[in-house]
Amino acid sequence: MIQSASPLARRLLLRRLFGAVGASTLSYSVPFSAAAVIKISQKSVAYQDHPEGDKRCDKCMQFQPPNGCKMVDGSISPNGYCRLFVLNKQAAMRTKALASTV
Amino acid sequence: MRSRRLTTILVLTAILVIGLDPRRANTLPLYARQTGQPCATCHTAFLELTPFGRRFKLGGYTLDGGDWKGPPFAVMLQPTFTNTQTAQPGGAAGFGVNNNFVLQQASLFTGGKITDNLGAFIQGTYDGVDHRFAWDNTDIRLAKQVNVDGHTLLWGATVNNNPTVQDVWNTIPAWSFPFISSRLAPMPTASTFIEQVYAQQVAGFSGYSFLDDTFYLEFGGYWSLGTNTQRALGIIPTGESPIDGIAPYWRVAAEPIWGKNAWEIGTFGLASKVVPMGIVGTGTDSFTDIGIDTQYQYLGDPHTVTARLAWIHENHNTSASQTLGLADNSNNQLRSLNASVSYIYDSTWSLTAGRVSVGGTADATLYGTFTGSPNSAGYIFELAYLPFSHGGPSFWPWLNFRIGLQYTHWNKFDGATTNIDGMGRNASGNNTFFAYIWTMF
Repeated sequence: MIQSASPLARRLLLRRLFGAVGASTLSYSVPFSAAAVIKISQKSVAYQDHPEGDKRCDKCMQFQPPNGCKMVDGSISPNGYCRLFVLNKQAAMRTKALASTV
Repeated sequence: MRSRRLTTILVLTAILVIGLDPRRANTLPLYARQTGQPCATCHTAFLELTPFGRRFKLGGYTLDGGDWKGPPFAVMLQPTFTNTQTAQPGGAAGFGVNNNFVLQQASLFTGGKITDNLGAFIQGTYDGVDHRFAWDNTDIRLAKQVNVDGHTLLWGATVNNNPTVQDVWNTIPAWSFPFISSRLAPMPTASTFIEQVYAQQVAGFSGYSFLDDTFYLEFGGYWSLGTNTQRALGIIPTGESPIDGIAPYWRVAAEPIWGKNAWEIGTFGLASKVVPMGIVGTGTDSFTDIGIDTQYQYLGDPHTVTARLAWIHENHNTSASQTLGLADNSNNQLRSLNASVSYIYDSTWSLTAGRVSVGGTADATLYGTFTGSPNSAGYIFELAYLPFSHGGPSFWPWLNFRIGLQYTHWNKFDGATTNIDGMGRNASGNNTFFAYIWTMF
């Protein structure tokens, strides 16, 4: 059975709640210093600089041309591969269309 | 009712603060939606983390890459079935003596990326056995990464409500095997303090660093929340032994990764003075829990193997409890072991065998067992099927299930193999068959 909180507890909780909201608001209004977005190391996702079958970084939705990735740190080869590979359907369609025109 | 209203206010405020930030409205889905990755990227078989999953958490849940535009919520449901070898007369209120179906938990999650360096994991849970809603595991982090002289340093701070909930390896208590257990099966009476005794009863703050993607160091402290605050959050504090002051918490680990292998070795601990049963006037007890742990993962495709081991030693000074008549001895020790091995095929089938044990000095008054001994030991076997770890059905790609069958075999329970309760019940009577459909969406 849930027990009722006392008026003192409610006041205390609400005070802390509003304090937390205030602190959050303040933190949002103060811009963080130009810290880089945190990315994952190449080692932890088993990055390799060659494809895995037909899976290549330039077909992945996380790839940022010419040699970057939204998630993985460092320089990324378009021909590379890692465990995070997720097919970018638009890029795959473009590749397919180019192949069919050749 | 008032307490429920306050809990509702708290949850709604959290939603407003985290979910409706106008600058970040497009980047706050929960993790799979936020990152655009399937479950299998962060989990070998949820909830066990991969190296990527660990770094996502250490990075403050901030990494994105998905194109989800909706609000940052997720839901978890755990319908379960429990059978014990011998019926349990006088079991949980409202349930039969055996063969019980129950929606064990229903949880709502929110959090994810708030800013480039701030993120959260926030869980609220309806307990289907106790029939009440309460806050659950919560971890709010600030994290940054710097490169110094060829070295990468990820550092951050966490505010959380459960010692070890902030940890990223599946060896130590908050996230260790078994990842789900029956709430309707008997469990050993004794456990060390760091093994979830203070979950959701405390607040903690710690700072951490992760150097060169290998060396992890964390130090912080926990303090007990007031009883009225706990009640307002849905926790019933009756019978708690609150922390007196601040309890230091520490964690040191190293995780080299090579090829498809990741191997972690570390130590962790929590120490505190405690007020036995919250009764003041006779001084305090104290405890020191020191653990060592190791985890090895082979991350092949499609074969994955994880081996985990954690051992905890607790020294418990119970002089105040002894004065109050709550303990026979002025000092007790406990040792806890949790070892398990999982084979996972294609992030879809998971087979795990585990050994759990707790042992230490006998103290009939402290533990309340018939034998006076805290000793228990058993094996746990589990088969689980996760059909959607690589992506769910087209109508909701983030749907996943962990459909599991778990069997627990007790060699010893509360100090004995036979007649564990003085009424002829044997340890094997607590052997448990547990089935569940753990659903996430």
